[in-house]
Amino acid sequence: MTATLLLPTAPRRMGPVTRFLVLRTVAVVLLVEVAGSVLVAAGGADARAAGLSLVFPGAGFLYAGHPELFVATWVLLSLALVLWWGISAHFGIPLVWGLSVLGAWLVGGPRWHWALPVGYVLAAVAVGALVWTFEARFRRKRAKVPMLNEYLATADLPEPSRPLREPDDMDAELLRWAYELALQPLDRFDGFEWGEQFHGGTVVRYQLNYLGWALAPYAVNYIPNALGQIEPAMRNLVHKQTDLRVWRYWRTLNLVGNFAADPDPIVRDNIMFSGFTGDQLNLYEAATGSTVFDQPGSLTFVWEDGRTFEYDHHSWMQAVRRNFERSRLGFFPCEPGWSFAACNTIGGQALYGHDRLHGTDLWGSVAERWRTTLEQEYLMPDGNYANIRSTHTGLSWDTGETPGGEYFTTGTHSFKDLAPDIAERGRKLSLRGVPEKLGKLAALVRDGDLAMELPVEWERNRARKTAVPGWTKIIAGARAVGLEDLAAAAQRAGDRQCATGQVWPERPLDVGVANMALHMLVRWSTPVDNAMLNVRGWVPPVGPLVDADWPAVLITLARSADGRSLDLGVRPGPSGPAVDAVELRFASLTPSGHYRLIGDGVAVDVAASAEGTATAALAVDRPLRLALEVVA
Amino acid sequence: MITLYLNCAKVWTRLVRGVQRVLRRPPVTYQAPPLPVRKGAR
Repeated sequence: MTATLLLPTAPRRMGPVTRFLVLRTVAVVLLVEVAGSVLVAAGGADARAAGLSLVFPGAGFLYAGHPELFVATWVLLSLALVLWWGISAHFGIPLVWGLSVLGAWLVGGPRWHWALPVGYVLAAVAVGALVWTFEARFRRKRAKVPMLNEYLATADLPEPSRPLREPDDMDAELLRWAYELALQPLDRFDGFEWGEQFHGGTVVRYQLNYLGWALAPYAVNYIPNALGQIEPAMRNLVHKQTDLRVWRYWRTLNLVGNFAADPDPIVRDNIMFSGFTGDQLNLYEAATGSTVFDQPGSLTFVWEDGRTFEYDHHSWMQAVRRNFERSRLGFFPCEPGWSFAACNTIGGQALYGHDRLHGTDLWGSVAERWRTTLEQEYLMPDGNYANIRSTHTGLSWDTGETPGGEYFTTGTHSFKDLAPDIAERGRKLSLRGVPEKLGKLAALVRDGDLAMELPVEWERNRARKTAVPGWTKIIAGARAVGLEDLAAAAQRAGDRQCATGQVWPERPLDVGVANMALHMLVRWSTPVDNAMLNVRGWVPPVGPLVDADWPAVLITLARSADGRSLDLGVRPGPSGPAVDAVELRFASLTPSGHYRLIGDGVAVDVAASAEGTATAALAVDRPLRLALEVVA
Repeated sequence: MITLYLNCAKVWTRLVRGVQRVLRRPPVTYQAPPLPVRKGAR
């Protein structure tokens, strides 16, 4: 067994690039303070008010006897802070600060001289509070290092469970819902959640990503021998990313954050689109073997004025690589000026996956720098990584997107493909205490049943309350520590609590689209998960292949354990139960071989042609669990 | 990492919902907005 990578025993407060950015920010603030103090010391009453607003935003209004404007300044500064993060309005805080200077100069009024020392005290308290929160958090985390390293060196976590599951009724409902959602015409989005497209729970690009990521393990684990239905569904999910309504948000962000009018969503920044969808492209190809997006122009964006931005799988990934290479920090921005560790990990996954599929070396050209950035710039003493960093100021804080604004592993593959040693350390740290906690929950499982319900919580877009994400976490956590009985029981309990009995365009679970897709991703990622798929790449299936017409028939299971027979699950598709016989089409059979399709009251002889193909007519009027077996 | 006592994600969501309320638009719908009208080709 290889030793687990330990945490640095003498961690630095910040990496070299972050330190440069922070020092530059400090220098600018110092300059502002000096300028303000000069005005306070040497100016007349109006200049003194303005100077005091430079020393501390809005303090000049206090000097001018307008406390209401001081309060207004801070309300606007808070709004500017949110918009800085939300739409990359980097100018917001300087603008409000500047307006408070100008306003204090012009507003006139009685002079409250006590405001002068108060302004300086407020400035000192603000700076002191920021430094103290940074230093206190750093020292608190640093103090844990010896204990955490001892744990990392000695902990022996159970292996994750990776069962080969039989799809159940809810799996079938979810698959059917995903197909109907994906296979509607490309310009239709019935059933997707629409709202603002910048951040959070109504962003359609993420819904498309998550659905694509979820269907990839279904294709690999459940229906590797029947890709005819899932391949177009996954393909459409990628094509829908090129719909103008999905990506036009970028022009606004680029304009606000970069002062650039180029609407091209791939060429600069925007890794939350290029990296995420790049990863989706790889998984589509690795799961289905389709190279449709390798064709030039297969991913073409058409802007409002008719301008087109043509990409394909290769040129897309080249653009991601160029962004990595020209980034000073080593991670490049999602929204302009904000580099997220999560997005840059998924961007790395995208390059890695492309290399595995196409024999290129895109990842190799950035891997070392990516790792250096992760370990030197984003790593905190206790093994957490900062979620976000401003590429202009070097600052990070908890923006409310992830618990504490940090995580031990990130990306959708938890570093398992990009850096297995870091992945193992992160796994151990994130699962510290989890086997014990979940062991107590596992003790509640009786005869495979977990008789409990989880409290519902608001989704991020506050469209509804749901218990599904809670169940998803339990299933994922239980699998991660090998408690498969608990995972299976939790899945059934979650289905029981959250099933709606509804079909597309409604949702089969009481949850929004994004969280449902993430639930499907966790549910279906066994035995092969997307990290393994990204490493593996495309592997053609062995054994008989099968296909059937959608929407008459839904194929839920098609896999061959021995390369000769086929385990098959079919049920009525959305067009309803087929009382009349529908055709199952087989291929890759032994030429002129004899087979028998049996199970659930079905017994049909299947004779393969000299080309190894055959058809079987079957009334799919209910779920059928079948086996195609070789007749000796 | 510094600490700012402001949950940007929560405030953002409330801000968006407030703006949508003013504009009399639902914050979340299950119908895509219409495709933008093409401007003159360049």
